[in-house]
Amino acid sequence: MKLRTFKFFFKEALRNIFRNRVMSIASIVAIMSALFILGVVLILAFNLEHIAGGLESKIEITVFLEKDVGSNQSRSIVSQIEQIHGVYEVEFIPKEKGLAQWKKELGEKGDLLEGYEGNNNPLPDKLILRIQKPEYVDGIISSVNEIPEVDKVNYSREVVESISKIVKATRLVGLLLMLMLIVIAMIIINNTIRINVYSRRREISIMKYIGATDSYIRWPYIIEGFTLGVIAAILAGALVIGGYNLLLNRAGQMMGSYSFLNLFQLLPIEKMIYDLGLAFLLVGCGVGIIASIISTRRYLKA
Amino acid sequence: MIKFKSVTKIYENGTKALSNINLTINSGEFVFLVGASGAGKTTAIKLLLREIEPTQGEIIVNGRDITKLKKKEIPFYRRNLGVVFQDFRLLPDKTVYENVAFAMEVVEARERDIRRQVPNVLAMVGLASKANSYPHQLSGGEQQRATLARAIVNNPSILVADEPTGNLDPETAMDIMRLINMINHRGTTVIMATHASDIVNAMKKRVITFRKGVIVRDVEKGGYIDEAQNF
Repeated sequence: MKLRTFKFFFKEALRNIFRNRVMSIASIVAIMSALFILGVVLILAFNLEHIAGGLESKIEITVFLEKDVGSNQSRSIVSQIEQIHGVYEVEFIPKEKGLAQWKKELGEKGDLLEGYEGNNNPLPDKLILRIQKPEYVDGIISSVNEIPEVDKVNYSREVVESISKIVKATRLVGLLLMLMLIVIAMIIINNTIRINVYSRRREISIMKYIGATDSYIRWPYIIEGFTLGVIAAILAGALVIGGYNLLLNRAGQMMGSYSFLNLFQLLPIEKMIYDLGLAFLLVGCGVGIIASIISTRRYLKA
Repeated sequence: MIKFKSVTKIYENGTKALSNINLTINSGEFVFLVGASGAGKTTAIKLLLREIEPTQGEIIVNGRDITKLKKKEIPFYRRNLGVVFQDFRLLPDKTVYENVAFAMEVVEARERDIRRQVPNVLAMVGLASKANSYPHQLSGGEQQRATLARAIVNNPSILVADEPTGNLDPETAMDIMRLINMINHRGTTVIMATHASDIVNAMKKRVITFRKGVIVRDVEKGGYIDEAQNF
């Protein structure tokens, strides 16, 4: 297609948008709402995954050995566990070190543990296992339990599992909501374009008599749908990013006073901006273009 | 050359508009299609423009059976035809120049050719001085001149005119006819459907008379014969 022809299409498209302001704005708002929901869903999902990922990497299986296990025996158990599939790292904490840590944690009251050193140490030797992926947890636990010198295995599975459930549910609900809004947006754009096509049916019929191809007639409307989609994507992007930054600031202030919340640190917007932008543009333009194609098809028959 | 071979058109509502029409129009001919409303001349024109397809038969235009055209080929076929209607159908928000240039833009002509060709055609139809006027600023005759300019700007081999003088006073109508005649003399085949007996009688061209979907009369240098008198 020639550049001049394309310029003509673009001019026509912009003229249509302007001439039909009210419907154009309605279309933009409709796509924007759908994209806004999409943005909220994506940000939620990204953050939940981020939190879940953070927790997963912190997931540790703690293994306590029988109290009467000697230190040589402990070391052979460590190398045995290191062989288990999915184990990333094994940290051996002998009971002496465990006691020292405990004392340190107690701080000033550390002298309470006075007299438990040496043979009086009540603590067992402890192993801390870091794992590669949560899927391996079950296998690792059963393998570890088979070792006779193992007394007890600790693992907090519920947190990780419930978070991944929440992520899935959020995605599903968000997607359904978004699909609904996309359908609504499509119906509105469809009407917008149809009004334009209808108001210009005379021109279209003349174009057909002169010998304009269907695609020539259709292009301005497709560009119109595309433009509405891009405008909506930009506005929705600004809205979502602005809103999220506000949230980050508020959250940042709260974090200052409650340090335990650091576990649930929100992702900085920079990490998501490209994914969000791309998703917005693709969905926005896609919806606009598809709606235009559907609405012009009927008027172009014969 | 245009050839209708055993063409029958029955509309979806059951109306038989044309039955078994055979007709040959040679290149460069000037032909009037006459007959009462509903006699079939408008159907014949719609078939020629490939707005509708015949129920049966073939329509050969310049060596091709246009009933077999694919949907994608129709616009390119129509570029061989110039079309003029009774109600002008100019775009109201474009000037005369833009209306004519539009016909070239639509077929993606080169800008240079548009700038050269449009003033030529406007001069030919006598509208050079009105190039920048809008349709509502023109008289009926001038509007029809503008549509003629639009119809021939792409040098079609056939000009199809459906009641082109229907909205004009007799004197203006004769002006338009002189213009159409001139276009015919440049080699363009002209097919014109009309009710205007005075025009048909004055022009002394081939006249094809339709009645109830069949051709009842086809004479060279004929006149318009009122159906009430003869049938």
